[in-house]
Parts: sequence; structure tokens; C-alpha cells
Amino acid sequence: MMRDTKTTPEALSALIDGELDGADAAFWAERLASDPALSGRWAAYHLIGEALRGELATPMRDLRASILARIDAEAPALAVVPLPRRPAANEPRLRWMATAAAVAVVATAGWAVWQAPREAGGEALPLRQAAADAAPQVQEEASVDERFYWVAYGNAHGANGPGSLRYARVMAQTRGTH
Amino acid sequence: MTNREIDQQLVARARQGDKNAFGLLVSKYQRKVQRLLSRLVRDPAEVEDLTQETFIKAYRALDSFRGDSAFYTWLYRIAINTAKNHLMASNRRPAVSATVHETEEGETWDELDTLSDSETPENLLLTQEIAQTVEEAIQSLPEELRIAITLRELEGLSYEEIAQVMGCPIGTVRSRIFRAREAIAHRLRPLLDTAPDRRW
Amino acid sequence: MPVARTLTVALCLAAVLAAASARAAEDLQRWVERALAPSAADYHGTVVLQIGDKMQTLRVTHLLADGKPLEWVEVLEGAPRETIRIGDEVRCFLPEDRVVLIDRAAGAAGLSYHPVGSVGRIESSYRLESLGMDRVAGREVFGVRFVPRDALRFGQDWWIDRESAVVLKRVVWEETPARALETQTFSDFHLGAATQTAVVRQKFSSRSEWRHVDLRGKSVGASETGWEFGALPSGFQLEGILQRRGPSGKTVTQWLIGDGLVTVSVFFEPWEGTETSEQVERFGATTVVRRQDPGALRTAMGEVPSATLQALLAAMTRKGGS
Repeated sequence: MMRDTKTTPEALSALIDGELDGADAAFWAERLASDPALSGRWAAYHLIGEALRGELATPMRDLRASILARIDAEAPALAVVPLPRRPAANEPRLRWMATAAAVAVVATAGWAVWQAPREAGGEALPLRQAAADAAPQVQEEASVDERFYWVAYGNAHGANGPGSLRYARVMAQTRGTH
Repeated sequence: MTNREIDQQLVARARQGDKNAFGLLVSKYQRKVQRLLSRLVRDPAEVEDLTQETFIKAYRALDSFRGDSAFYTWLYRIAINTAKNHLMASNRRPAVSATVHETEEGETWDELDTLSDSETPENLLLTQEIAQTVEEAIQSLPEELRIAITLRELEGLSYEEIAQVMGCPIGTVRSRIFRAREAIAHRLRPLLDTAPDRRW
Repeated sequence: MPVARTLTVALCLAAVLAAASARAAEDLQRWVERALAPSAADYHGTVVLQIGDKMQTLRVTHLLADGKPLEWVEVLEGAPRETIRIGDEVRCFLPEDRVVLIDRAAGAAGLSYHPVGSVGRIESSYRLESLGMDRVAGREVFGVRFVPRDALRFGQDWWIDRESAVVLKRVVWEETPARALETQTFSDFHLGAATQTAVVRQKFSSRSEWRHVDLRGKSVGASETGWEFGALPSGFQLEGILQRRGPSGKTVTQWLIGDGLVTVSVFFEPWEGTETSEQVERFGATTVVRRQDPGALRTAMGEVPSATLQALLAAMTRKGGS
């Protein structure tokens, strides 16, 4: 699908008006969060609409930054820390994921979700340590989480046996003992 | 993609830990939440605190948002509960009562008394500045841009309806609305960027 | 003894035998239909999985809550991982990472799922054989063998509980039944509810402080994917296409392709690499083929031989290109 990046903000404008559909809409809605120029326009376009409708009766500060800062400060458990996940010694990783090393280079916020920081007292890695560990081997193995495929595969259809057996099979695999 | 679907996609991303996606929801709804709260609580400082609290509570509870209601009605419910708890704790009654109604493509709530005392002179000045800038910007737009953005933002017409009204292709409507927004945003920029903590 | 009379007896006997074998075939089909249908019984038990040379024990609970299936699977060794399905939604709880994976259950609206009772379709790719009555977990079971009609698939044996039609033992084998790739067996099985649905529901919505990862995809049409399939391997049909957000943050397209008994998933995601390579791995009965081409990373998974997955990948072409 061709997407002319020059027309980006125009697509955003249409998206806000509910005039963008299908894959295009999904694409821009997703892009929105990672592109500061788009986020700024998103905020401005909404503000303009409200100003035109005379809805600015109770103006306040833009609270976005302070709300996000408070989320960071008050709920560290919720914050995403993009640590490369170090496989536990007793948890050999799937070799078939090694081919996806190139994916790891481009994957940032998305895959961070899959690498929740280890619990305190457990295996929490300081950032520097994590960077040192991100030698080719670790990076390769942690590049894409195989659980995504197992869960997506196991849940979407009746493979892996009928009924509960299906879930049992997926759970056994996501344990990562293979 | 409807507004509701866009919100749902942002919620899904926020749930996955993408705070920027949540930030977009804050950008979109903070003033609506503030307006709602300012009808329950009079003190502007309290309104601001409660607005922040509402969004933080919403963030923490994101996984309990099931998507069977629109995000903003869910958010407003949190806002109202936050205000009620606050008032109860401080042993006060709501300034006025508010009821939120969900409509297809936007929210309404019962018309309430306007509380003029929730506006400090400083805030009032900025509102006027923004409103005035937007007004001036729109007046200086070429007519076809002005009509397109007005039909969209004030009358809530779809692009197809605007195309019928203006007798032009939908693509042209889309481009006119975008150009109008860009022109207005351009005029607003100094106001938003230079303000010490991005007041608006 | 008159010849005519002997002949009559023989003919009658042949007719009786033919009728009996037709009945037996119908019986087999009925057993399979019953096993494929969603279970109407409450049950619980312990499942032992033998995957290659690895073993795994899990506790399984199945309940009906307001007519909706509720399934709860707990891993009994190592970290207490769990999967809970209530109605259309499945949640996997992964305690080591404090992650909850949320997905839509098979058969939920908008998702294709091999239709219940599609025995006819199964029989075009597998020959059904009776293994007779036997016992598993101390219960009476009826055995059905699915013998593949070609080399594109594995064989399976199902041992179906006589009373509830729950599959109490399932073996996937390659080439001969003696070569088991994977075995799933209830070591104990009980009908009835040992847990209240409220308890499972509470567990389902607990752990709200963990990170929730929503895997739920949406169904899309073939024209939206940018790919098309040429001739599929014999007996296989496209059952549905999903798009989800993958672990790299990109949209992953998932094609579901099945032969009535097994369903294979083919995943596609955009990829920046320029080289071409292919990897094949087997986990018990599940084969994984991962193929990289310039711009495309494709992963095929399923309980079929690797050649079948490779044939599927080969049948896939980019629309308007090669």
C-alpha cells in the first residue's frame, strides 16, 4: 500500500474526523503515538475544534506532561522498561527465533511490552548490565518473543487438541522448556 | 475508523505500556474532563488536581476497561467518582449534579449552571487569547476553507455531506479541512509554545 | 444339505455383516462428532503431556457458566502459569514476567474455527479406524484412529470418554502409530464441578497490576493482506485471516489453514532484512518453519510434516508481484 509521508498530517486530520478507514486508519492511529509531530497536531486539532465550538470556558494548563510524569513517579510497576530479556539459565530459548535478530534492531516500544522487568530481588538488570549483556547471542535469543506465536497459534483455532487440551499444550510450550 | 475505535486502539496501545498513546488520550479529553469537574467542584486548583487524579486512576485501571462502553463515558465515570470521593472526604456536597449521556459520536451532559467563579483572571485571559486567535485565524482563511472547517467542527457534518453542500469532491473537502486546521494551528503556535507551562 | 439353502444363509450373513460395518462406520463418525462438539459437561482432572522427551503436568478445569464454556488450565511444575478462558476471551497469566496475555478464544465471533461435526471433511484426508473400547484414567473410552491418506499430515489416535465424549487421551504419530510424537493424557478425570465459577471468574480478573498485553486480532479479508495463495496442499482450505499487533510492534497477519482435523497458522510480518534463509524445528508434534525473504518474515506452525508447511509457504505470493 502506498502511503505518501508528505500527506501525513492530512491523513491525521481525516482520522480525527472519523473519515479514515481500514488498514489506513489503523496505520495512522498506530503511527500517531510514536511521532511527536503528529501528537502535537493531534492536540492542536482537538483544541481548535473545542475553541471553535466555544468549549474553552474553563481553560487549564495542559496537563499531559504532568500526568505522564506522575504515572512514572507514582507507579513504577506500570512503567515500561525496555530491558533486553535475559533468559534464565534453566530456560533455554527457542533456536528458531535466532533468525529474527534483525527484527530486534528495529523493535523498540512494541517489544518492550514482552520483556517485563524482573521482579525486585529477582533478576532485575541494571541498564548498563543489560547493555553489556546485549551481546549478539542474548540479543538474538530475546529478539522476538516466541510466546506470541504459540498463543496466537493455539488460541485461534482448534489445533493442539480439542477443548482444554489445546490450552494445556500452549501453556506447556510457553513455559519455555523446549 | 470512528472516534470510538481510535480511542480503543489508543487504549490497547496504552495497555501494552505505550504511555504516549495514553498521552494522546489526555490531550484529547483533558479539557472535557476539566469542564465536567469544574461543574462539580468550584476551586480551579482542585479541578486541576482531580483531573490529574482521574487520568492517573484511569491509567491504572486500563485493563478493567472492557470496551463495551466508549472510553470517554468510562473516563467521565471515573471523574465523577473521583469528585464525589473528594467532596465526601472534605465533607461537602457537589456544587451541582451532573449526568453523562453517551451518544454515538460525542458526549453530552445535562446542561448545568455555568460556574463563572472557577476562572481565575489569568486563565480567563488565556482563554480569551486562544478564542480570539482562533477567531481571527478563521476569519482570515479563504472562504472555502472557512466554510469547510465550520461545517465540520460546528455543524458536525461528514465529509460526504460537506462535499454535497459545497459541490466539490470528498478529497477536496478533506484537503480543505486539513489546510484550515494547519493555518489555525500555525497562528496558535506562538501562544502554545511560548506559554511557560503550555497553558491554554 | 441342499446347496440352495447354504447359499441363502451365506447371502444373509453377508448382508448382516455389511450392515454391521456400515453401522460401525456411522458409530465412528458419531464418536468423532461428539468429541469435536463443545463439551456440555463440567469436568476436572490432571493432564500429562509427553512432548518429545519432555514431560509436563497440568490441572484442567472445565465448567459451563451460563451456557458459556469456562476453562482453566494450571501448569503444576515450575512457575504457576495459568490459562483461563471464559466465553470468547482467553487470558494467559505468566507470573515470571508479570504479564497477562489477552486473546480471543477459538470459535468466538469473527474467528473461523473448523466447524463442529465436519467429519466428512476429515474423512477426505484421513481414514477413520476403530480402536475399540479401552480404559484411560480408570474410565471407559472408545478409540478412534485417524490414518492420513497421504504424506501431508500426521496420524492421530483419540480416546474418547464414553460418558462425556471428552478426549481423555490424544496421540499424534508419524508414519506408524508406534512413532508417537506427542501424547496428551488425563491421568485422572472427574465429571462434575470441583470449583465454583465465581472463583475462576475472580482469578480471571485478578492480577490487574500485571502488564496486560492484548493480542486480540481482527478478522480481515484476503484482499487486505497483500498476499495470495495459489493451490493449497490437498485437503487444506483457508479458514480465516487475522491481523494482530506482534511483539515487534508491527502488524502481524495470520492465515488459518486447515484440513478439518488440524489447523496450521502462517504468520507474516514486514521485515527489513535482505537475505533469504529458512529454519525448520519440531516441538513434539508441532513443526515450525520460519522463512526470511527480502522484506518478509514468515512463520508457519502446525501439527503437520515440515514439507506441508513448506508447500504452504511456496503457494503464497505477493499480490501483483512474485
